[in-house]
Amino acid sequence: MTAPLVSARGLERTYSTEAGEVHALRGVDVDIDAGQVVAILGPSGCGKTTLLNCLSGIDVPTAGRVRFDDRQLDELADDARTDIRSQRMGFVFQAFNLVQVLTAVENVEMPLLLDGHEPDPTRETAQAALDRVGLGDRTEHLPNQLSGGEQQRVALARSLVNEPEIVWADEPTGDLDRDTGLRVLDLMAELNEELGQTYVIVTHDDKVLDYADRVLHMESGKLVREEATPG
Amino acid sequence: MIGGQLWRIAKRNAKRHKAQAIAAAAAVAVGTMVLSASLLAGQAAEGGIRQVAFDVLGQTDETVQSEGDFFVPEEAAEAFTRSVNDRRPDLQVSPAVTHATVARSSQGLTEPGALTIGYPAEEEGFGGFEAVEGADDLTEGVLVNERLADRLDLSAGDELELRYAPPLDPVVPEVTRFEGNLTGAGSAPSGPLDPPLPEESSGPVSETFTFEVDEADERVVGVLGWGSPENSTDLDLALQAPDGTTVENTNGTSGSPDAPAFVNATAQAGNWTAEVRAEAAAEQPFQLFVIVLRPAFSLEELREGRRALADLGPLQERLAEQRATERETVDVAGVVSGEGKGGFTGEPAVFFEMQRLQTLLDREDEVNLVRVSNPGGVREGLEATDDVMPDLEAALNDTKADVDQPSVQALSVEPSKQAVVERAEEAGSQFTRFLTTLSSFTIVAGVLLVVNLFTMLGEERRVEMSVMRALGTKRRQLTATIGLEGLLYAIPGVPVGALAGLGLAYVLVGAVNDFVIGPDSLPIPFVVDWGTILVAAAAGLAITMVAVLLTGVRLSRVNIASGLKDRRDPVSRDPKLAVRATAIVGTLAGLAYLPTGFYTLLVLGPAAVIGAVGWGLTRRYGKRIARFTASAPVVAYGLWTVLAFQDVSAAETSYIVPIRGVMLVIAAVVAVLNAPGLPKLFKGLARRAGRLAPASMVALSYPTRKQLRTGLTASMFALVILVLIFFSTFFTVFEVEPEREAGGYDVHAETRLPVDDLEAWADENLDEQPSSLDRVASSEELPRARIVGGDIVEIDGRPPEYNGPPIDVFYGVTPGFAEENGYELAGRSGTFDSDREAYQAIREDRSNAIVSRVYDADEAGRLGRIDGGEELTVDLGGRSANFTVLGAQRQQYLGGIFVHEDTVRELFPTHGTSILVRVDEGEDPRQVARQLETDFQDLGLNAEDIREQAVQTQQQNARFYTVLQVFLGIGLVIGVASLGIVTAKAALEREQELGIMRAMGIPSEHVTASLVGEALLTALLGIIPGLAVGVAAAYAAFLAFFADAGATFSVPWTSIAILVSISLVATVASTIPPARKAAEKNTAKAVRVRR
Repeated sequence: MTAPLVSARGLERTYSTEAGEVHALRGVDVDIDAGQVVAILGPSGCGKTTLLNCLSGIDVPTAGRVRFDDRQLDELADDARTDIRSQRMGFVFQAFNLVQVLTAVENVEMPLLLDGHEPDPTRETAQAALDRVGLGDRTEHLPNQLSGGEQQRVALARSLVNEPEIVWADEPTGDLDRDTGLRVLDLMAELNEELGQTYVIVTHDDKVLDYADRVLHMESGKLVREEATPG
Repeated sequence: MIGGQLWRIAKRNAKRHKAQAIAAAAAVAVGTMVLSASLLAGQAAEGGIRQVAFDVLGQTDETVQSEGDFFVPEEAAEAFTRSVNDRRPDLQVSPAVTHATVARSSQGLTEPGALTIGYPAEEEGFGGFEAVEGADDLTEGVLVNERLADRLDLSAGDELELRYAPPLDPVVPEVTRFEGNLTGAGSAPSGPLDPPLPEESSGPVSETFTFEVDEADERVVGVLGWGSPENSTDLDLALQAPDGTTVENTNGTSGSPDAPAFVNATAQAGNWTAEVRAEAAAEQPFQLFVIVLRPAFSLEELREGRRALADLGPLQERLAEQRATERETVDVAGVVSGEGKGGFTGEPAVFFEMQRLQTLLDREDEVNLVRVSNPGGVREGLEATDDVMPDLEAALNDTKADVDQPSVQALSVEPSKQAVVERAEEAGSQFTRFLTTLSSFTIVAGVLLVVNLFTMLGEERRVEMSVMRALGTKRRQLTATIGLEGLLYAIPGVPVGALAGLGLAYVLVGAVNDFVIGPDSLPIPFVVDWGTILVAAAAGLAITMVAVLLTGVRLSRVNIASGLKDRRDPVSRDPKLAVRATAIVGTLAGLAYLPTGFYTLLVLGPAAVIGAVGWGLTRRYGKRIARFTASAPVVAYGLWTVLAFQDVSAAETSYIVPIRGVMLVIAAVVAVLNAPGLPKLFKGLARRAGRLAPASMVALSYPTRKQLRTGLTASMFALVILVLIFFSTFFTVFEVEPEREAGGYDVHAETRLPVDDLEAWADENLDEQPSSLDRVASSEELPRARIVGGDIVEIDGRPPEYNGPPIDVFYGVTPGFAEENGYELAGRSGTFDSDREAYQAIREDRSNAIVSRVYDADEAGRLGRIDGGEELTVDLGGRSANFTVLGAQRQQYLGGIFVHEDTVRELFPTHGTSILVRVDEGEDPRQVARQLETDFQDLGLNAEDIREQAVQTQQQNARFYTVLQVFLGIGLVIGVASLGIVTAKAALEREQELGIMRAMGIPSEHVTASLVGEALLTALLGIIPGLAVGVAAAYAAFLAFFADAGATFSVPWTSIAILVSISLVATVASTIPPARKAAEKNTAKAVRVRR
C-alpha cells in the first residue's frame, strides 16, 4: 500500500487573541493520497484555512504531527519548509494574489526563478503554462488589466508552472462569479487529470463537490465527516 | 455640527496612524527648523556686525577726518566744535589723534597692527575707559586695551616699546633746473658759458645758485648730475639754508645721471644757496635740479607735482623718501576693556593723553580726527544721524572757510556708525537670502514628504472616503477633514521645528565662528529673536497647510463607484483641455517676461508649454512616452536657462534658484521614471539574479509602476542631492591653487612701516646682519596702503561685489615686481601681448592699474567681468582718482589694486610695505618666514609661507562648505525618513502579497531584500537625476559665470561618492526594520489579510 502524500495526526492550532485563546484546530487527523482532488468544506471560521496552512507548512501546528511525503513538516525550520513549498507545492488563493506590478507571465515564472532556473527557458515555460490556462494572448498584461477569472487562471498557471506534486487552493472561487468559478474548477480538474497533481481545495462552495474525489467536512476545528464523491 | 464630526474623524485618524503622524509632524518640524535657522543665522550675522559697530564706536556716531588721516591744526577742530555747538548744542564734539604703530612687549612679543590713539585727558559725552586692571585714566599714563594686552601678554606696570614712522603730509615737488660748467667762472641758470674756459685750471672751483623757499614748504632736495657722460671729475653739492646751516653730499657724482650727488634738507622759509664745487676748473658741464617739496592734500596738486617730476627721468627714483622709523618706550598704567572708548576702530590700541601723543609724533597742536556724539546712548545716538549730518556738514564748511589750509579742505564728515550698521544690515540680509535660498530645497523636500504621506493616506482610506462621499459628505468637507488632520500634525511640528531652528542656528553660527572666522577675529554673537522664530513658525504652518489642503483637494476627487470596491479609477479623463490650458498659461507667462523682465516667467512659461506638448501625446503614444517627452526637454531647457539668463538680479536669484531647482528635479525624476526601456532593463537584470530573481523583480518593478509615490520620494532625495552636489561642484571653482597664489614668490611679509629695501633697513637699524637674509635669494618691497572704510572703489561704474570685510588695498608696483612677478592675468587688455607687458605698462603710465581677482566679480558673483580698458574709480572723500584697468589677476592672496609705487606713496603718506621674498634653493619658506619675523621684530614684520597660506585658505573654505553641506544635508534626513515610512506603508499595504510570496516559498530574507531594494532603487531614482542635474547645473553656471575668467571646473567625485554612500547606507538602515518586520510576519495570517 502506498503511503499518503500528506499525513497529519492530532493537529491542534491555538491562537492567542485579546479576547482569549481561539482553538482553530482541535485534533485533526487526515491523510491525502497523491493524485487526489480533496475538498475541505465548512462554514466560515471552522478552521479550513488553518488546516490548509498547517498541512502545507505555511503555519506550524500548536500540537500534532504533519508529514509531507518523507518529511516531517512540523519539525522543520522555516527555511526548510519554505524550500519544500517553493519546490514541491503550488498555491492558489481566494484574492488571486498576484504581484500587482508584475505582468501575467512574470507572475507565473516566479516559482521557476525561485528554483534557480535559467531566465530564458523559464519565460518559455511560463508562457506555456499561460497557454495551458488559456491566457496565452495576455501574457504582458498587468493583474489590474485582467478580469477576476483571468487573474485566478494566472494564479493557477503560477501554481503549476514548476510542476508541483500538490496544489493548495484556498477559496479559489471565492471572489469569482458562478460561471467564472466553474471554469476555474474545470481547469483544475483537467490539470489533475493530465498531470496527476494532487489538489487540496478549501472552500465553502458546494459546486466543488462535483470535482473532488474526497470531501472533508469541518466544524469548529474538527473534521466531522468525510465523503467520497463521483468526481 | 458636521465640523465637529470632521474634527473627530481627523483626530481619530491621526491617532490610528501614530507612526505616520510622527513622520508628518517630523517633516513639518524639519522644514520649519531650516527656515527658522536660516532667518536666525542671517539675523545673527547682521546683529553681530551691528554689535561690532556699537562696541567699536561706542558713543561716537559721526567722525570728521580726511582720507589718509592728514593732520590739521587743532584750531580747525576748535572752530568746528564752536560751529557745531552754535547749531546743535546737544552734540558733543572732541578731537583725537590716531597713528599706526608696531608694539613690542618687553617679553619680545610683537603686534604689528597696533594703533596709537590720543584722546583729550578730559572730555564729555564719550564715556570713560573701563579698567580691567590698573588705571583707567589717561592722566595716569598710557593705557592699552584688552586686545593688545592679550596679544602681548601685557599687564599694568609693564614696559611697551612702540616703533612708528612719523606721520608725513603728502608733498608735491616744485622743480627748478640749473645748468653750469665749472670752467672757473660762475654761470647763470640759463646755460653753459660761452666761450668755454681752458680745459684745466689750478685749485678748487665752484658755482652758486640761489632760490627761494616758502613757509609751507617741507623739504629741499638738490640733485646734481653731469651734463655730459664723457666727463668724470668728481663734483660736490652743498645746500645752505637761510639760517646758515649747510647740508653737503660727501661722495660727489660718479659721472652718470643714474648716480647723482644728492642732498636732502629740511625746509626753512627764505633764500637758499646751492653751491656746486670741483677740485679744479675744466670743461665739465652739469645739471642741477633743485626740488622743493610742498605739502599737498588734493589729487590735482599731487598730479601736477608728479608731472613736473616726470621730466626728471631716472632721477625721480631718488626722490622716494627714506623715512627713518622712531622708537619710544612707554609704561603701561592700565589695561582697559576693548569696547567703547577702549575699542575705537576695533584694533589693538595704546591710548595716550592727546598732547603727549602729539609731542611723540612731532605734531604739536595738530589732530587728525574729530569725533561727534549724538544725544542718547550708544544705540539711540544712531537714530539722530540723519538729522545731525546736514548741521555737521554746514559746520565743516564754516570751518573750511575760517581755516584756509589745504589739509582742512580735505576733511569730510562721515556717518561712521550708520555706515557700519547699514553694511551690517546688507551683510545680514545677504546671508539670510543665501541661507533661505539653500534651505528652500529642504523645505520643499519636507513639503513633498507631507504630500506623499497624505497621498498614501488617501490611497489607504479610499474606501472609507468613498463611503463618506456616498453617504453625502461633500468634497470640501473631505478636504477639510484632511486639512484638520494636517493641522494636527502641524501643531506639534511647527513649534518644535521653530525652536529646533534656534539650536541649529546656534550650531551654524558657532561653526562659522570656529571654522570660518577663526580665533583672531571678532566672532558673530548669537542673538535670539523671538519675533523671527514666530515668523518662521507662521511660515512653516502656512506652507504645511497649503500643501495639505492642495493634496486634500486632489484626494477628495475620489471616484465613488470604483473607490467603494477599492478598484482603480476608470480610465482617466481626456487631458486635452488641461493640456491646452497649460500651454496657454505657459505662453502667457513667457510673454509676461517682456513687460516685467522677470526671468522666472521665462523659465516657467516655456517649460510649461514644452510639458504640455509632451503631455498632449498621451492618447497617441501612452502615458510613459508622453511623460518622458514632456519632462526630458524641460530638463534640457531648464539647464539652458542657467547658461543663458545671466543678468538675473540678486533679489530674483533668491527665488529663481529654488523654483528652477524644483522644476529641474521633478522633470528629471519624471524623465528617468519614464525613460524608454527602463522597466524592461530592470526586469531583464532582475531575472538574471538567480534565486533572488523573484524578489528582485518585485523590488525593481514597484518603483517604476507606482510613479506618484516613487516620484515624490525620489524628488525629495533629488532636491537635497541636487543642492548638495551643485554647491560642492560649484565650490571647486573657488579652490585655491597654491602656485597661482604664490606668483613665483615664496614668502609674503607685511609691515605697517615704510621699507624701501629690507637689507638696507637692516644695515641702518640693526646691529648685525640678520641670518634670515642669508636664506633669502631676493626680495621685492611694495609700498602698501589699506583704505579704511571700504566701498570706495568702483569698476566700470559699479562697486565690486565681494563678501567679507573691506579689502581696498593698494600695492605699489616696483620695477622688480613688474619685471619678475608671475601673477597670471585674466581679462587682459588686448593691447598687450603678454602679462609682463601689462605690468610694465603700470611703470610707464601711472593711470594704469591691475586688480586682483576679488574685484573681478559682478553683482551676480560672476567672475571675468573686467575687460582691459575699463575704468576704476577710487572715491577719496569728495575727490576721486581714476585708473585704467589693464587686467585682473587670477590670484586672490594679495587682494587689492596694483598701481605705480609712487602713486601709493603720494596718496597714502603713512603707507606700509608688502615684501615678496624668494628663498634660496632648498630653504623651507615656512622657516624663513619665521626667521624673518624674529629678525625684523622691530618692523613688526608679519611673514607667511604663501603656499602654506593658500592651503590653509583652501582648508578654511572646505570647512565652510562642510558647514553648509551639513546644513543642506539635513534635508537628507527627510528623504531617508520618508523612505523608511514609505517602506513601512508599502509593507502594510502589501501584507497579503508578501504573505503569498512567503507562502510560495520565497525566503523571508529575500522578501526583506526585496523591500530594501525597492527603497534603494527609489533613492537611486532620486540620487541619479539629482546628481546629474546638480553637476550639469553647476557646469552651466560655471560656463556662464567663471569660464571667461580662466577658472577651472572639476567634479568632486570623492565627495559625491561619500554623499551617495551615506544616503544609501542611511536608506538601508531606515528600511531594514520595517522590511524585516513585514517579511517575518506570520505567513498564515498574512495571506488572509484583506484591505
